[in-house]
This record gives sequence, C-alpha cells and structure tokens, in this order.
Amino acid sequence: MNRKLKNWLIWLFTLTGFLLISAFFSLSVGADKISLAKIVSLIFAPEAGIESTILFYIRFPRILLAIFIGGALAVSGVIFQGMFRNPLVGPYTLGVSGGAGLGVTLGIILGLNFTLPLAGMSGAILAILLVYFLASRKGFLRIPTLLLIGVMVSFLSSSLITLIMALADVTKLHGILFWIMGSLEESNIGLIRLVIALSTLGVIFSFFFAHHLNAFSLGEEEALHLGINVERTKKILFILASLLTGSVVSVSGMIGFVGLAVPHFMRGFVGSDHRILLPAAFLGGGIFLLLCDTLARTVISPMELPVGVITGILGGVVFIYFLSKKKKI
Amino acid sequence: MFFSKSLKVIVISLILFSFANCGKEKNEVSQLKKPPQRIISLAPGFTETLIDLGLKDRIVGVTTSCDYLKEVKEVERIGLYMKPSLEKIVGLSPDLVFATDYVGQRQTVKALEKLGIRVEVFFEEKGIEELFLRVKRIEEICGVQRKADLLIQKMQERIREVRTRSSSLSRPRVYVEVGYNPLFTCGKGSFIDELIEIAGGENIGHEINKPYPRVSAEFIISKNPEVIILPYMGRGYGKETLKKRKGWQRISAVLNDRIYDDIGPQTITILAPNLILNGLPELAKRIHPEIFKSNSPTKPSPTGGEGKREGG
Repeated sequence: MNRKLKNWLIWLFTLTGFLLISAFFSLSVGADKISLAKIVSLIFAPEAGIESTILFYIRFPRILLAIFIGGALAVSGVIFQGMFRNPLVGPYTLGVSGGAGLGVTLGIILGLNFTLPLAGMSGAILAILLVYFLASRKGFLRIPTLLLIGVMVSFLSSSLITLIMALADVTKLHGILFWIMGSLEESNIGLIRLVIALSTLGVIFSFFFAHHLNAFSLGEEEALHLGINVERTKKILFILASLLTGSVVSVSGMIGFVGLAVPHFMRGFVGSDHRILLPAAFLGGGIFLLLCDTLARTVISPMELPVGVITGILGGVVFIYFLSKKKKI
Repeated sequence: MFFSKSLKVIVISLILFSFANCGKEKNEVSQLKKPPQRIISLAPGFTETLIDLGLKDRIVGVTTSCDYLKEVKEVERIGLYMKPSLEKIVGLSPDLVFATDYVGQRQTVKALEKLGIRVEVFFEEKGIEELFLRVKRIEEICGVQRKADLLIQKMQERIREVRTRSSSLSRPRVYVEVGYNPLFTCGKGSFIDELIEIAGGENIGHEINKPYPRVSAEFIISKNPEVIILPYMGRGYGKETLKKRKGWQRISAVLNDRIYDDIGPQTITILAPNLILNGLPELAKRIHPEIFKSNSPTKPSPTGGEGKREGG
C-alpha cells in the first residue's frame, strides 16, 4: 500500500512538473517574438510595457484557461466513463454540451452577446434537468436509459442548432460557427476566474467520490454490496460531471476529444484507481489542452487554428497509436 | 499536495492580474490627445480609405484580406480578418485600431479595449451612408480635413453624375451573386443594393430585408433577371459555368448574354471610396451599356494617384 502511495506521488509530481514546463513553454512562444531572457526577467521583476502586457495579460490568462478547462473536461470524462462503465462515453455524450450549444446559439440569434456564457449555462442546466427527469423512473436512475436519453437530447439539440443556423444571418452564422469550433481566447478576467474556481471545486468534490467510482467499476450490484448508496451516488455524479462540462463548454465552446481521450491515456499511465486517476486526469487534461492550444496559436501564426482541430487530430492519432500498441502486448 | 498547487496558481494569477491592471490607465490618458501615428486596420475597407486619405504611412498592421493592395505589401500582417491575432496587434504597439462589428473581431475588440488600446469600431456591412460617416470620423481623428472634404465631394459628385444619367432610363432587373453554393445575393440594407438603384437597375434581392440573404435558384429563376453580375472572379465558376446550371438557360440575362464577371473582385464588394469612384461607374456600365460608355465617367484615380485598384 505504501509503495502504491509512493508511486502515485511520483506520478502527481511528474505530471505537475510537466504541466509547469508546458506552461512556461507556452508562455515563451507566440505571434510576437519575446526572448527567453526577457521573459525570465519579466517574471521575476515585472515592469510595464508591451512585452509584459503580452505575457501576463494575453498569454497567461489563456494558459490558465487551457489548463483548467482541459482538466475539467478530462475529470468529467473520467466520471462519466466510470459511472457508465463505457469507454466511449465522454462529457459531450449526454446532451449537456448540446444544451449549452443551443443556449449560446439562441443567445447569438437574440443578440445577447454579453451574456453568452450565461445563455450557455442555462441551456446546459435545462438539458441536464431534461435528461435527468426523463431518465429517472420512480426515483431510480437507470444507466442505459440515461445514456439513450442523453444521446437523443444531444442529437435533438444539434439538429435545432442546425435549424437555427440555416435560418440565421451570415454574420450570426459565423458567430455560431466560431463558438462551435471552440476558442480559449477570453478577455473577461472575471469569467476566467469563475472557470478556475468551478473547475477546482468540481475536481475536489469529485475526489470524495473516488471510492464510489472504484466500486462502480465492479458493477452496480457489487457497489451496493460494498455498502454504497448507488442511486444517490449516480445522481450526484451525473449532476456534478454535467455541471462541470456545462460551465466549461459555456465559456470555451465545444473543444472535442479532451474529455474522451485523456481519461484513457491516464488510465494507461496510472491505472484505473480513481483516487489517482481523477487528479492525474485533471493534470493530464490540462497539459494536453495547453499543448494543443499552444500549437493552434503558433503553427500558422499570426493566423490561428481552431483548437478543436488540433485536439482532434493530435489526440486521435496518438490514441489510435496507443490502442494498436496495446493489442500487440 | 495537488490542491495546494492549484491554490497557488490561483493566488499567483490574482497577483499578476492586479499588476497588469496598474499599467493600464496610464496608457489611456496619453493616447487621447494627439492624432494617432501607429494605426492598425482590421478590414480592407478601412485600409483603402486610409490610403485614399493619404494616411498610408501611419498604417503599421493589416489583415491578410488586404493582400490585394499593393500599397500595403510591406506592412505587417496581423492575422485573418475572421480572427486577428491579439498578440500580434499588441506587439506592434498601435495607438489606434480600426475594427469592424464582425463577430470574429468581437473578442479582439473587447480584449484591446481592456488593455487600454484605442479601438474605433465601424459597421462593415451597412449602406453607403456608413462610408461617408467613416471618412468624416477618420478626418476628425487623424486631422486630414482637406483631403477628406475633397474625397467626400468627389464621391457625392460621382453619385449625382451617375444618378442623373440613369434616372430617365428603364430599370432592368439585376441579380448580383455574392456567393455560389449556397447562393447568396444582396438584399435591402447592403451597399450593393443601393449602388444598383443609383446605377439605374432594380435589384431582385431588394424585397428581402437582410443585407446578404441566402436565396434559392428557384427565386432567381422566377425573378428572371435581365442582368447578372458576378463580382468574384477567377475562382473557377464564372460566366460559363453559370450558363450550364440546370434551369438557368431560360433566364433573360443568360439568353441575351448579359452576364458580367469582369468587374474586379474588390471593386464592388468592399465599402471604400473606390466603391463609389470606380465601382459605381463600372456597375452602371454593365447595367446600361447603351448610355455609360467606357470613356466616361470613370477616371481611374480617386485622390492623388494612389488608387489604381480597378480589376484587383
């Protein structure tokens, strides 16, 4: 047991170190060339100027956002996958992101440009409630029903988004498209702080359910035998992971693949004990999205790629590589 | 251990943000007084207008949409019109940024304003009136009164000239294809719609109350336009492919060979003085070839010989 703990600490330490290195790397590259020496001196002795504005006011908030959004998505993915015992489920499977998307789309159409995250969050919460009440029968939340209804709500909202897009003005259409592609460029510092707070809270809260998730991996009945209040846990986990996804998606749009793939990578590295898997997924998701976003904003700089493109391509290729290697062993 | 790490990150971020906030207000005050010397333009329409007003040397950054303008070949590119790079803009330390109300620029505008950089937002897809307002606004900000007045006068003169000559003529139905697959045309509220009216035509999209509506082929065929204008050029689907589209052969413009794809792509699609000075006469020539001959009233240069941009 002690050895296991040591092993876990080593993993957490390594991942944290890697996260910090990635953050520094991301801080040092961008459309505007700033020398490493200058960056180091600015970090230790901040002074006003263009370079410090770019570093601390443009790059740094974006790095924070990438880390916490990537982390939240990965944690939400771990919870959903653990709860459904299904490796194909991700944060976007259950219609939460669809609801958020519908909310944002309606917000754009109605011209509520300054409250888009709020519109997204309302949409997400409505979707969560809809899925929750449709899937629960006499106080029981049945996993297969939950999955089916979630997927249907997801399809329904994406069709509604398409319908709205077909009727929308060109400029509003572009707004919707930009949102769907996802972006981590957010200038509202209050919003960034909110995401950091929510995502941190969500991860801390989820950690208390690591044991429950471990028990779930044996099956619902076994979890019941282990003395877990299965129904209550399912509800809490569903709402927790959905809120986590909803708040993140409302701010950054639908950045795909992080929540689906990172849990798998992390399971491969640290094992499937949720006590280590949850924090490791948070760190891994943060690292992954941060590196993808760094690529997205530097590859064809000063132009920028949508970050979802990078997460999809990079994540997909690495994921397939890992899977095919696993088979051979 | 991991929790305390994230707490640390939050604390550090809060400290850094409060630092960044300090420097901000100072910038704002010093920038308001003197006319701006380092201008960034986020749309070709602004760049053209600035060049026409003799402010070319003050432009320090443009988007890649300005690549067709010889005058700004050497100027730094700050990304796409659809998504300008915030970092690149800030790195050029501009004292004025001209931006549009286009969604792709909204984030950038918000961020620039938060950083204390002066931003002027103009409406990109509005009528001709907006162009005059824009020239006047630039005149106020940059102190180029004489040139601006001259430019406005020239544009008004050109409009009057074309309108006088076209007013007594019959008004052929005109279809301008802004986009193909899906089909987009220009409706009420767009400057092309106004230009068609001045040039003596009847825009078939005028009844649609949207500047750039998506339309069906059926709508166009049922309107039976007498003149078709294809403002884009050299993208592989010009005049000849249009003739081959199913069901389009019976359209009057196709029967009488009145499809025009020879107006330069930037001549009638960009809201800038060039639109009035060159685009309008070019359009009038296509709508009423019997009256507007190629020798008049088009004179190629708007102000001071810098604007040879027809044909793109």
